[in-house]
Amino acid sequence: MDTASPLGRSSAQALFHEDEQQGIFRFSPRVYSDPELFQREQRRIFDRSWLYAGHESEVPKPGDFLTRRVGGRPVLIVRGSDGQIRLFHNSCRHRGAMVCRHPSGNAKNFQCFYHYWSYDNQGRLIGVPGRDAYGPGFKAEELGLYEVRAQNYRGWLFACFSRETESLELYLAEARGYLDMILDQDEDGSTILPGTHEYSMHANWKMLMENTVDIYHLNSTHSRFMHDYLPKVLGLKPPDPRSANQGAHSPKALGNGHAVIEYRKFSGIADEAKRARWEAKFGKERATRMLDYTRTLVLFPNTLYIEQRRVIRTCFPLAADHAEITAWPLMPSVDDPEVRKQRLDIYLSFLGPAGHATPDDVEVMELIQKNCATLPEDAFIECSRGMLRDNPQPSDELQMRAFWRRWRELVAQ
Amino acid sequence: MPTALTDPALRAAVEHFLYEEAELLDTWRLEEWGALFTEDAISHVPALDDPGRDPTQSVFLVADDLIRIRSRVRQLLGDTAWAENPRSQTRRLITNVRIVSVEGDAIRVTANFMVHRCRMERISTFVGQYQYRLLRDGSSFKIAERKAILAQDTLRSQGIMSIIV
Repeated sequence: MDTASPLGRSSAQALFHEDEQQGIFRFSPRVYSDPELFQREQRRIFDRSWLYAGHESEVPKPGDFLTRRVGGRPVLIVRGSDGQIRLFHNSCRHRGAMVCRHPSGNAKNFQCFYHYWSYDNQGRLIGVPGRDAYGPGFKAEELGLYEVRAQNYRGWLFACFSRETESLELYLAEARGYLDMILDQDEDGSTILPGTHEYSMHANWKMLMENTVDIYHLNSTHSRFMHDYLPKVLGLKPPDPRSANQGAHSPKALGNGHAVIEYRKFSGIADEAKRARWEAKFGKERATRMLDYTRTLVLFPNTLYIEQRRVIRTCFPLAADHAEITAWPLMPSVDDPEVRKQRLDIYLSFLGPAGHATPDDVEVMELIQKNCATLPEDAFIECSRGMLRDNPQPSDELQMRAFWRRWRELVAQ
Repeated sequence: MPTALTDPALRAAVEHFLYEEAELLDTWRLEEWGALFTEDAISHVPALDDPGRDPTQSVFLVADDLIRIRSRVRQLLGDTAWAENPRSQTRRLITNVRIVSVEGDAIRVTANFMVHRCRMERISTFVGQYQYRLLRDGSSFKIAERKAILAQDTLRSQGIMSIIV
């Protein structure tokens, strides 16, 4: 235990205040700013959780590779000549330099330029100049690239840096069913398009996890999108803020910190041609939810999927007050060109560093961050909306509380 | 004999136009800026990881047509573009202006840019190349195409791009 650390006072009690009777859920702003909590998150969350790393459509052919940071670690994702996708630490087994320095491409081998050690695209060490200088204990077969534990869930590649964590399927808990409901809609599979948005904010990563499932802020923070872009460009009536609450489907905690909001679509692509087929295939109730409702899914800790905009988004902390955000467009592999155009507009108009919504979200999160470390010791962030409702609404904060309860279990206790 | 590409009068007119455009953006005279475009104009900031494609094949940073240019202008001039309220101070340096082709009234121009932005004590810089297709319009021009190709692999260092670059 960190009894000697300043976290002595950051016990669960000090950080969270929860009163089921009075309908109160509050937490200290220090959860966003305390550098010690940031360190704990690295060890207890990012070193142990399943993290979204990429999509199989990004490496379609043998030899296709990409490099990126996953959970802060440089990772090489490569489809070997045997057709298998593997994830490796992008680090030479000799002195540790990154063996691949390109964002993506196709390669049979990867060579570290420091001393020209080389590896095949299945991670095996295949070249060591001056091999005769090593003794019998030096075994090339033991010196392949460090493989990262990975699982492919219907095309989504997840990485986990612990061998002890449960399987991905168990980890996903009830979120798996929602992921299925989302992926079942792309009957010919899904594909990541080029145009990754890689940006950042001077704010704590957890704020984005909350912000993305915050319906309450749409009408105020995104007023300009709702009252200009929607009506004047798309010719759509801005949604009645209450209409998101009219669906029968509440926000739901899905176990392990995962959560979903599910609400009636107010715009989007007409999929009427699919209705009869999907009703036969999935049943009427499920087909209706797939066609008429839309979901935003939080996969704890840092993966988001916004179905309406078809974005997979991750947020990873660089420091307590600095996070990098990466967003990938996930489109149906087979798509009508006109519909694809609409999808891209729905994506781009709202999202991204130059969209009509994301900059305002980043602005508000950075404004919160400016206060976190400097408020009085007993200051708190309010997260109680809808706590006593029998049927919580998407504009409530149940989905945030699900995230925080898991975070509290892992980090604050 | 100057060719169309090196004609000093054309070069001077194009440079003057680009500097005036930059001044409109830097002084937030965005309605006047929006009026520089043709009816079928596009204003694009392509994807950083795939700048060569068209916006139906990859997600750009900005893929505006005229109706979207005008919406962006109205939003930025309104009160609720929170990321630009209060507004950024910007200053643009436009250099290396090259006339790439002249076909009738259509002139293709490239220029390098450096856009300095300062807001709430933070400074960021966007650097890249503009690619224009200008159409002669009396003694001046209209913008038919405006592409800002950023010379950077991500926007991590700037965070967001809420201004018009």
